[in-house]
Amino acid sequence: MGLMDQVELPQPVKYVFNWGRKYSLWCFNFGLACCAIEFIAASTSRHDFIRHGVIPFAHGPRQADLLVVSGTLTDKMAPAVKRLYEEMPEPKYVISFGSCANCGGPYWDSYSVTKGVDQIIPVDVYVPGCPPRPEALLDGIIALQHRIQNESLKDRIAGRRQDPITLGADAPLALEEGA
Amino acid sequence: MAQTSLPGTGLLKGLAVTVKHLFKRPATLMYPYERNELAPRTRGVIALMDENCTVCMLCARECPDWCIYIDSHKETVPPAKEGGRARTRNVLDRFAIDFSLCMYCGICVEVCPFDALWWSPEFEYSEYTMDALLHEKDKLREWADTVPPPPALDEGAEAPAEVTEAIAKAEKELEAAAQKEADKAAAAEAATTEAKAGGSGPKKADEPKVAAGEIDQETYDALIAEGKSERIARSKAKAAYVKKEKARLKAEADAGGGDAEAAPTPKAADIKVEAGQIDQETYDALIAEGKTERMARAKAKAAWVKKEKARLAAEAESAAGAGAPAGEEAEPPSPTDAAGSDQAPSTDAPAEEPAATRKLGDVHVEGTGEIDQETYDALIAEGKSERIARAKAKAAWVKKAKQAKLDEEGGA
Amino acid sequence: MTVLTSTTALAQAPSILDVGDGVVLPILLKVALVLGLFFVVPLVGGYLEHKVMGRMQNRRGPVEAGPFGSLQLVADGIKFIQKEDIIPRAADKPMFALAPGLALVPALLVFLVIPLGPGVFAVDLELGLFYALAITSISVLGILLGGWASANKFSLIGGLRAGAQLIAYELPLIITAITVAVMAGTLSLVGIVEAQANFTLPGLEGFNLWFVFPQIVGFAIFFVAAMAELSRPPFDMPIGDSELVFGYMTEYTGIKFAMFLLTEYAGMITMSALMVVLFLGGWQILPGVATPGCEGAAGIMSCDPIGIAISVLVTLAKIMGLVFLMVWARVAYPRLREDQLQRISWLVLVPLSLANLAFVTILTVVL
Repeated sequence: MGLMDQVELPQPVKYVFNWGRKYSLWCFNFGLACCAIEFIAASTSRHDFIRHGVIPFAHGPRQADLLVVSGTLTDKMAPAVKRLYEEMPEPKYVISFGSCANCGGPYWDSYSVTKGVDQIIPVDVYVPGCPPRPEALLDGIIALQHRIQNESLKDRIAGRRQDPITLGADAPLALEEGA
Repeated sequence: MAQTSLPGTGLLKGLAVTVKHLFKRPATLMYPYERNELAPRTRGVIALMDENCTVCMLCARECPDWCIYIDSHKETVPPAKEGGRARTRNVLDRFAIDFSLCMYCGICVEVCPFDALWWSPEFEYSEYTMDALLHEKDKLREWADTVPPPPALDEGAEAPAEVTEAIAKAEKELEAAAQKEADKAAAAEAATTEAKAGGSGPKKADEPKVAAGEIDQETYDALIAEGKSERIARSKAKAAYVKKEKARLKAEADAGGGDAEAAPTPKAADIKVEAGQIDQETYDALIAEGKTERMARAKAKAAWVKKEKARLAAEAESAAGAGAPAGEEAEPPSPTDAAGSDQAPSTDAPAEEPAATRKLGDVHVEGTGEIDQETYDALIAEGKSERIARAKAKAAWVKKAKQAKLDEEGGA
Repeated sequence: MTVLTSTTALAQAPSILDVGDGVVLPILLKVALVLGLFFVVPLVGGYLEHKVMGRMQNRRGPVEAGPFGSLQLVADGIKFIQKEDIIPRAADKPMFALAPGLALVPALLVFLVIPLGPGVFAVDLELGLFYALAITSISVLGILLGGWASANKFSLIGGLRAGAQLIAYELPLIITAITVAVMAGTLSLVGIVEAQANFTLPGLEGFNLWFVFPQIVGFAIFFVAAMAELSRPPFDMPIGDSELVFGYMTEYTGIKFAMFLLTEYAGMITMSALMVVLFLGGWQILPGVATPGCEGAAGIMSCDPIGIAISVLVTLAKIMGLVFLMVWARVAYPRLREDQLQRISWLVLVPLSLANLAFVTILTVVL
């Protein structure tokens, strides 16, 4: 951090830095329901997302770069997710994995379910499915890596300061934080 | 034994297990380069054939998540004949499925009475924003292009009801026509019996693939020109197609079974061909067109079965001494899979190629990120997103590299 | 280093980096050698670990970052320098910042005495073995400090566990090293390599042996103790993530965390290098085999450039072999319990190493 969120870096440096972030996504799994099983499947020998530089199961949030919220987020659990997200150091990325994490899924009219993680934390990539295939997570990760390679850290942090929930210019959703 | 063994043997056993796995082939599927072969009805994404939709709202009402949004308006269709009654019909304005909400239960697909909704195995539609997961009518129609042909029926299974009905109808008409002919020409008494024999042929061994979903383009165009609705035109064209196909098969049977009454003529559909091998030519063509690997494989399999049947039929034909070419299946290409039917039966024996193809999965090519430019350009031109185009082009490249490796090995 | 080398009694064999008469150039070359070793070889070791672990688990390991995933750890490093540096509000800020450096610098300093080939070292101290063992023990101070300064219960317990573990395993490690020193008759690492090249068992003169053959027990003790010293799995109780989140590293982010990680991987390399020097004949290809292009004592001590290159490659290959063994053990065995860990050290390794030392000492004196 430090300078990187203040100054726009020259292109070659930015490329190398983005490349480093792209292929080193230490992953913090927030497994909340059945989608977590598919997430685990994506980390096993058959799918093995370490191939893409996603090091699974970072020990704690302090070492993680990528938060994968997989499963139904209940209002009771939401503060914990928000807190762990805030414990992660910038730059940090979030993948919302599965319908429940995207917007509540089948429980969209439940009294106890948060209608999507993007109500409390900004999300970079939404992976659809109920639950998504492990390959769908890999596809989401590739999409995220594509985004990281082309992003500007300065803009990202600046956008975060303006609006803590919305990410970048292409995300018009400005949802209010759940009480 | 375990109690009396030396201390430390357990530790050595652990080491032995791990080192054994070190020299095994990894089980990893190199995802963007290699893909699982998904079943044709895998619950990946829901596709919409909007020309089949009558806005009956069954899907929207049955959806447990209420994630289907349908808007429509009524249109008055002027009477077809002078003095008739004007009719109204529903026109679909909006059909959207919110895939961020969908729970992929498939109830909408089950409940659709007009086969407007289909499962497609595509799953690569992660998005950066959630509102992009709301797929509108056009997007859903695009998914329909990715719906693979249905899995083949089990051997000896009954044909689907609609196929049986269509065949029965066509048969009846054929018989009537044959009766007329018989009345006209009394000398052709034998021909009538043959017609019966020929008529019973397609009934017992008809491929559902032949009859299902294909339309007769000529009829279709004519009906559209007449101002019929697209849905009606399509269904009538389907019926017309089935009818034509029957007539053609009968003619073939007549020609083929002319002298050899005792030895039944082998028809394409009668010959049992073991499925599971693919027609490399078709496959390559489809891959080059930018189709997904899975779809190309499915279609290539169908093409191979067709070719093999044609070849066997031709062999049997020549053995029987009948000169008429059999098994030439001139299907009109359906609008969705234009490249699916390979019409020219090749004379070379395809037995070698499939044997090599089965090994395709065994060949390992370490993907280093090269892409197949041709495929990529084609996909971009089709309007696919860059990410998808890139992933698919990578897959195409690896596929080509593997094929090249295989060819090399085959040559050596 | 000038301070150390100026006391003439400490310096033994000349380094090939002592070129010219100047003082600056050799120092620059030595710094380059040590830093190069410190930043490159651990990365190679880490890549080996990724790949071997992957293959042993029927996976492929990294493939996307660089050719065959070889730049995975480089990507990790580039990422870590961009990460936000979080210091907990309750933390003891100066100590919190100091701890990773305190752990890292000793790991760097050990590389000074590691001989990779004839003359390929920064300095050959007479007390090289003593120096190496003493310096590696300092790393635990950084770990304890980090655990204490984080103001986090998991960090504190992790740090204390690390302290207890290092004390427990330092003993067998040092006793075994002393045993080797007794056999070699010197504490200089280069001297130990030379002694091994000339070592024969009584009654089998003319049949050269490395210390690993008569000292197989010592080697096993040293290997286990070294893994425990480094908190490598299955001895990673200080960072056991099922109990302690990440132990003493729990609160560390970004570059500071990367320094702790680099300490661990550099420690793997230094410990492997020490084992190579103490037990596996240093840069000698095989027992009794002279390196091509070399002359002098046992045909390994004074070499032309080709011989030096071969020697360095042989040493690095041996180091990587030992790293492979450590990874192998990591994949094969589950983590020990804290009481099992202490029991293994105090009830098995310490008595065994003491008996080994007594046995070897008596034999050396008698024969």
